[in-house]
Parts: sequence; C-alpha cells; structure tokens
Amino acid sequence: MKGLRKVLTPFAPDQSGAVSVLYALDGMIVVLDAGGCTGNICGFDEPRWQHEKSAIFSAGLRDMDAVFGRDKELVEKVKIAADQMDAAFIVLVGTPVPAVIGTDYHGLKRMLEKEVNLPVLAIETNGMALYDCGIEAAWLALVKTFCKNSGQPKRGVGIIGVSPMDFPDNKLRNVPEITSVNSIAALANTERNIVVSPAGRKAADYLKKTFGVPYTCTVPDELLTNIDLPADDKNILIIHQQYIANALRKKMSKAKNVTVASWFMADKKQWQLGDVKLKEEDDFTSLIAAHHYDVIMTDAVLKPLLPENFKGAWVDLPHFALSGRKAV
Amino acid sequence: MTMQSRTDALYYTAAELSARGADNIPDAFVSHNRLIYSSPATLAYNSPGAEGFGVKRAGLAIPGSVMLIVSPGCCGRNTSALMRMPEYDKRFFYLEMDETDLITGRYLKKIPEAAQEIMAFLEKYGRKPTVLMICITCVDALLGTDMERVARQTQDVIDIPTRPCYMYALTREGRKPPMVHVRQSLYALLPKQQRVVTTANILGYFTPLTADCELRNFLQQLGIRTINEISRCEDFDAFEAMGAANFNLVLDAEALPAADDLQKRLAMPYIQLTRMYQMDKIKHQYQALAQVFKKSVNLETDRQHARDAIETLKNRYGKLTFSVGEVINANPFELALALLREGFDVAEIFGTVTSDVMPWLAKIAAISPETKVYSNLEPSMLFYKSVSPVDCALGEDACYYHPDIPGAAFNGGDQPFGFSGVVHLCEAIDKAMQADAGGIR
Repeated sequence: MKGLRKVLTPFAPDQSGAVSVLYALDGMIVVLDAGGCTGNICGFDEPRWQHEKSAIFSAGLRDMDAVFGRDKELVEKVKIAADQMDAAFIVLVGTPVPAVIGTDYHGLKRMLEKEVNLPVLAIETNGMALYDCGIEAAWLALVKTFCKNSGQPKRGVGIIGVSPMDFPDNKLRNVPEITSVNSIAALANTERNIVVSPAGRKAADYLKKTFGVPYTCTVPDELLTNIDLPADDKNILIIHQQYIANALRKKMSKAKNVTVASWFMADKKQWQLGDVKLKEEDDFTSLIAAHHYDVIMTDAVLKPLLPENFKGAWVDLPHFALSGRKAV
Repeated sequence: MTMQSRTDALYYTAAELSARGADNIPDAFVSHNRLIYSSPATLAYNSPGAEGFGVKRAGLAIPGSVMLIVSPGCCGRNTSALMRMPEYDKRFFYLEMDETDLITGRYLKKIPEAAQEIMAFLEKYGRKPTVLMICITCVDALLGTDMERVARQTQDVIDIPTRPCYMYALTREGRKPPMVHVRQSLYALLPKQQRVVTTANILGYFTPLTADCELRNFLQQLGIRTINEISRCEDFDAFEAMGAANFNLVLDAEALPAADDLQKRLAMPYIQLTRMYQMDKIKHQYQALAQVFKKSVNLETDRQHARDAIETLKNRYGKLTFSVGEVINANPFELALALLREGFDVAEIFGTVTSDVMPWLAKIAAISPETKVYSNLEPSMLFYKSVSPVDCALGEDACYYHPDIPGAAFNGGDQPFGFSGVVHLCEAIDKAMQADAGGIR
C-alpha cells in the first residue's frame, strides 16, 4: 500500500534538513511546533546536538495557540529570547502544525522584523516532505537574504548544499566552512562554487544568475573517505544522495555496470539512463528482484528489505538521512 | 556556537520563589510564556519518547501489541532508535501522510486496509498481534479526527482489539496530556471479571519496581498475594488478569484518570502513593495505607537499611553539595528537600516550578534560602555556566550541565520507590563519587 511502511522508519523530514543547514550558523532557530518536532530534530536528526550548542528553540505551541492563531504572543516570546542573545538573524522553521492551521509566514516574518530589528527568514517546511527539500529551502533563503554584491574582486571557492545528513565530515581543504552569515554572504563573491547535493542547485542557480558566480555539481574526493569500493567487472547498484552516488560511480569506471538509485531529490541533468527513483519499500525489493546486481552499496538499514534470493554482496554506505547512523 | 550572550542563565533563589508564592510564579518559569530551549537537558520534555517512555513505547506496553503510527513522516522519525531494541522488532508500522491526505482526509479510509496488510505481513512470521494501537499526532488533534470511530471500523476488519492513542504534543499542558490518555487507552482494555480480593495492581510506571522494593512485602503483610504490574505481564492473558484486582495503587499521578476510569467501569477503587525520599514521609505514607486496611505492618528492617545507606554516604564523603535535576526518578524539589534535611547541601535545582511544588520550596527556602532554581526550558539556559561549587550532579539534566564532576543520572529502567529507593539513590551517588569525573551516567 502506498505510504505504508512495514520495515523502514520514516526518513529524515524537511524540517530536520533545514535545521541541519542552519544549526552551525550564528542565528536563532525557532521551530514552530509544540515541542515534539524539535525533540525529533535535535534528539535524533542532528548529530552535533549532543556536543555542540546552538540557539535552537521550540515555539512551544499549545492547542489554543493553534486554534486562535496567537501570532502576537509568539512574536513576544521570540523577542524576549532574542533580547537575551546576539543573534545575527532569526529563522522560523515550519512543521505540520503551521501547515495545518495555514500560518501566514510572510505576515509573521514582517511582524517579527519590526519587533527585533534583525533579518528574519521563514522556511516553510511541513514535516511531510523529505530532508533534502528542507536543505534546499534553507540554502535558498540564506543566499537570498545575505548575499549582496560587494563590488570586490571575486576569489576563492565556496561550497553549497552541504549538510551532515549526507556528509559525516563537511570540511574541505581551502574552502571556508559555513559557520556564519558572513560565510554565506561570501558565496556571492567567489570565483566558483561547488554544489555537493541536488538540494544545493537552486541556491547555486540564484548566485549564478544574480552575481555571476559559476558552479560545478560534484562531490570532491575529500568528502568520500572510508568507502570500500567493490572490485571491477561487477554489476553494481548504489543507493544514496544522487551526487554522492554519481561521484562513486565515476570512481568505478571499470565496473561492468553501475546503476544509481535514490529515495531523494534527483537532478535531471545528472541522471543517467537506467537510474532509478525509489519511493515505497516495495520499490526497493522489486528493483533488486528484477536485476542481478553483484554488489549493492547503501545504508544497512535497507537490508531487511532484500528479496530472499539475493546472492550478491553488500557494501555498507551509511546515509544519516535514512538511518540516523553516521558513517565512520 | 559563535553567538554571544547578553545575559547569564536566569535563576531565582528558593527564598525568592517561596516569597512570591504559588500565585506569583515568574513568567520565565511558565513554559507557555517563553520559547523552549532545546538541549539534551530538555529532550525528555520535548520528546519523551526519544529516551524513556513516551506515547509510542507506552502504547506498546501490552504484551504482543503492535502500533500503526498514522502521521506526517517527521512524527515517526525517532522511532528508528526504538526499532533497534529487540523487544520492538516488527511492532511499529507507519502510514505516512502527505499534503493531499491532510486536505482530503483520505488517509482515514486507508487505515483498515493498512491494518489488514500489517496482519498479513506478521502472519508470514507466525505472529498474530494481541492489540493494534493506532497512534495519531498533532495534525489529527487540529483536524478533530474521530479516531475512536476509525479504530472500531478497523477492529471489525481485523478482529483484534484496536485502540487509538494520541501523541498530541499540543495538549501537553491541557486537561488530558498524551501520557495520561495513553494510560487510559491501555487500561480501557481490561475486561470486567470476578474480583479476587487478594490481588492488587500497581499503576503508573511502564517499567517494574526494583526487585527489592519493600512495597511488595508491605502489600503481602496486608494480605495481598498477587501484585500485578503491566511491565511484568508476560502475555495478554496476564494483562487481562489485571481486571480482576481488588484495588489499584497509583504511583504516578499521570495514571490517576485511568484509575478513575477503572473505578467507574469496573468498580475497582484506587489509592495514590507518592514517590518520596524523605525518610519520615515514606514511613508515614506506609502507616497511613496500613491504617486503611486496619492492620499494623512492620517495615523497620527496610527503614534501617535505608538509614544505614544514608549514614554510610555521610561518613564516606561528608557534607556533599548536590546539583539536582528533573530528569530523574524523583521530584527534584522533594529530593532536594530530602538531601537538605539529611544535612547535605543543594546548590541548585533544575525543575519546573508549579503550585504543587511550593510546599517543598517553602521548606527548602527555610533550610537553604540561597539554593538556585533554574528552569531547563528557559531560553537563557543556552548560556548556563555553573556558578556554584558542586560535588555531585543528580539527574540526567544536571549531569549534562556538569560534565566534569561525578554524576548519577538515576533515571534508569527499574523504578525505585520507598525505603529501597533511598538505598538505590545512595548507591548511585556512591558509585558516581567513586568514579572519575564524568561519573556514572
């Protein structure tokens, strides 16, 4: 049945993806929920949360707040918290509650901006889409808000679309880390940007169109460490974030055949004939049953879905957005 | 974190709070007046199911039961952590909602069919569930879904008891919070049957009382031969047998509405007991219960054992100074008072200040007026730094704030209670003090 999961738990949702982009920045994150979504985002989907502080808050909505749409009270609560810290911006992150009650994000943003005198961003996630939709929305909102034409000569390389949901280690040599509003603003002033996930494409397109910064969609080798590549002459299936899977495919040019599949956003420009989009649990099982893959490279959380007659090898390729398990 | 604070973490002293009284609790300590800071210290508040028992685990307290979570994907996400526990293998299922579902309500029609598919799936593994719990979330709270009706329709199709449970975080501070309702939902399945006068149920916890808890011995002295706890029921028959109990003992106030229901539906009376760590209060509570049964009960050995544990701690470590948190098998204010009355110091308490805790706060203020009280949820806790010397942290939240000193989370599985609870607490503190900094977690 469509939408029924009997083996897998739901994958990381859009709101977690958005927070994964915002978490390390110098802003104040307000999740518009009753508390449970914030608990899920932080307690399960944010690998840095246990050891690295961030100004992340739940709006603590209650049933009557939702019924009566008490935006003024929410603005007041945000203002009180904002007065306690030096945040560079405030970002509102949506969940199913504002989606159901039809929250006017634009209005809320304007009300807040008047009160706190800080840039306010609104990410209209709803908890029903997948993590990459949240990453895409967060990156786009950040570059649209903070990137300005500096008039300075362009220099260096920037990175876009990065998130711990895909990469256990985000650091690239000679590429500044994204840790603040300033590092976001600098992306408008680079010679070139590297886009490491399909979710980064829209932000990169915006920077190219607005500031003339070209970009390359690729995953540098530095971000693909500790992966055991199978021997040549094999028929291989890789299931992961599309750009990561494509980068691995590129490394295995001597393989008999490499198919890329993904549960998530796919960039059509990077799609190859025979690549597969997955949605339901049965899609995975049917795919394996219909093809004779020698090797499957993906997160071990999918193993229980293998058809009984699968005789190939399995290379564990952890994907945090699937299993909540970090690669080692 | 690169952000600078403009303030220190906000606190009030016990004396200040006591002087303000129940009618004048500071706004900053009332959760719906502030944003709620998300740190590992507040995880149990924001997402009770992420650790311990939230609605999801509690809903599966009945042996052999399974759960269908009908919700947006985000609500079921953290269940991944539970799925790794063998006792939850093939017990959680998900029907994910999308935006069209929300608008059309079509997902409600899919539930009976989904339940049938789950039954067929489990049959392949030779399993037949005893109960299907249908768990719904904030979305349905707002839509006003009549899940009782859907559960009845589903039960007709799959022919096993089917109950709704409500993971409505939005109603956390309402009349029927989720953890109250889930208990009502579970115990509503107890059938009416012949009363057995020598049987009693213990309601409230989802894990058993510690094996050495004197409450069992106490009840046996009152003539109770069978003591049921839902967590010790090995199968569905054992669970149903709880319906034959003569009375219920309620150890957690969240189970009171469920006990009320049982009183009305099965004429099963109940008595509430409170978990405390003050030695004299524990004794008085037992004495009061014995009087109800018009019997005299001797728990002197247990009391002496607890007294010895306290004295051993004092002799070994002297006048320890504690930081007491609320993510612990105790009420932090009652525990702080117990420690103060035994001659220890309490530098700070992390807790939720409500009118219920004011009597304890007044007594704390009389002994230790400068004890600082923080609310874990208050936004300025982002900038918490310890300002008082502390020897030992008690509670998972206090351990989080004090990673470099001995600490005992003391919020593990089996539930401490009564005099044996005091012994377990002293043992946990002793272990923490003997360990290196970072202590027992």
